[in-house]
Amino acid sequence: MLRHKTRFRSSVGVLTAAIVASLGIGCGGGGDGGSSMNEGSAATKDPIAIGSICPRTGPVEAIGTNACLGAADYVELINSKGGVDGHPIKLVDIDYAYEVPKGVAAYEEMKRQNTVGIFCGGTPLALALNDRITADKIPCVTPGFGIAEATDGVKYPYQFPLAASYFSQAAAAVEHIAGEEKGKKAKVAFLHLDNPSGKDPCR
Amino acid sequence: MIHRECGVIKTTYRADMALYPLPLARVTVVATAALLVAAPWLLPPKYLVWASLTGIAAIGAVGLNLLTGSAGLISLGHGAFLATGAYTAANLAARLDAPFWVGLPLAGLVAAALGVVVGLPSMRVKGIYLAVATIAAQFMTEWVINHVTWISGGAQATVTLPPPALGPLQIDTEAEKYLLILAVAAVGVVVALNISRSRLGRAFVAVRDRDLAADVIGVEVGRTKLIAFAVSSAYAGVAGALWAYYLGVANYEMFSITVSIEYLSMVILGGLGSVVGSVYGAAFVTILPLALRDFLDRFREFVPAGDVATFVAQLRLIFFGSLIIAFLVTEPEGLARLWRKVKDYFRLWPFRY
Repeated sequence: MLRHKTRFRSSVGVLTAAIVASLGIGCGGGGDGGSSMNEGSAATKDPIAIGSICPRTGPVEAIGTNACLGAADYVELINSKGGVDGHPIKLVDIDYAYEVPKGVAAYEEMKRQNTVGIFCGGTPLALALNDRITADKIPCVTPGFGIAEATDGVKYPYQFPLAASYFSQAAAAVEHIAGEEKGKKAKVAFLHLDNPSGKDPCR
Repeated sequence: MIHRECGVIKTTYRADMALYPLPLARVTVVATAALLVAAPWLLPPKYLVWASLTGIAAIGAVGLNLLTGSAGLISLGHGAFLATGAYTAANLAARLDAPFWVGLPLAGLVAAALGVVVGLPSMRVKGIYLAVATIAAQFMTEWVINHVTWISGGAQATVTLPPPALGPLQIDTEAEKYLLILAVAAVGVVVALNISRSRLGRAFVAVRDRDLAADVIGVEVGRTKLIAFAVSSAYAGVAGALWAYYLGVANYEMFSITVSIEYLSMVILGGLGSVVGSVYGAAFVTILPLALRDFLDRFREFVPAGDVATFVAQLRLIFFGSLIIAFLVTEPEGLARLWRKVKDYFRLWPFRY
């Protein structure tokens, strides 16, 4: 369990790294102040705000709590190393209890704080925010699974599912089995939840 | 006097039958209405979203209060009717290009039809047994949405729909959406107030208080119960449709059993049987967690740094739960009654009675 947890956190750290890196390339002066500077670092320029709408309570809190701690840790690490181009990162971290109304409210709060990008922790939330993020041009990164259709970026230009979609997860597993059982006839069972997320890879 | 009956002399029948006999009440109602309409210009966008969410919740809660408060039929399936409304409106808009003013009432009608079916057990069972029977409706609806791709549109059981339009008027900004929700909610509240003042509303109450006695005085109990389910579900359907239009998407995870329980708690907190109480309850359950979170966020520095956000999130739950208990202990009949008590107190202030 512990091992699993650390792996989860580190993988989210990698995702945060992706967002932070894209910040460095894309938008140097994106965020404005906000009230408080982030603590103790050599960084002196205006902080850049990143949002994290995170299910820290509710049905998926086991995932949310760990994943969002990973993001927070990574932001702290970046800041301790001087931030991005001297800009410290400010993580606006809001719990939404996996309830879409609270998530929408959290998004508005982040918009108020001028976040340049947001982690949308949950597929229903990502879907519900899609119209808003497209209008506001704020990219939404789904660190878990998000909307599989968003991978090609045509219909959902501001959605970025970072983890592998359910399709590709299943495909990778099948490929792995095919490699292990080379030349043999393998029978594969797929145990899934009886809801759209679970059935996605079977389509 | 502007705020008490004493000294208000009525010289016409018209004045005697006025809806608001006291000037203060009239002024309050007009001022509240004006403030609500002016909200988009007064409130920052963040709070406007809170108001919109409250408006949608209020429509659903008013409907559930007619069923649970007035007619005494506990329903844990309100989420199912919201989902029905949302998916009806979404499918109509996405497949048939149906305009908003067609989709919204149709969503109500389809939800009402489902409500009648779900209400059938209420002819035989009541109280806590009916609650279980309506949970079945909740799960069956969720199952159907998950499995019938004709309804759910396939991928992720998600149907996206364009922003609403009223004729040539495109409603896509936050303020316009808020005003639309406010208008629908206002109509919903007025209709519900009228229902509870009419024969139907009294029949609901008669069935709630003693169904046998209601039967004896000529109320068709079974029919009244089904009508209560139909009306309540229609409200939920309209709320669900607004919900889908507001977010531009209907998704199956948005209408789980948690939603049903949340609506029931709005109704109980607001005051069973009170229409305005449902609005208070909706505001309480929708806004309080958000306001609490904002409030707790100010104390971030005093909390161990690592888990600040988790701590805040869980503290929010603790406070929210405690506040619900505190309110229910103070006034089991809900916020509507609490508000009436406050008004009664100030009517006689500074005297004790």
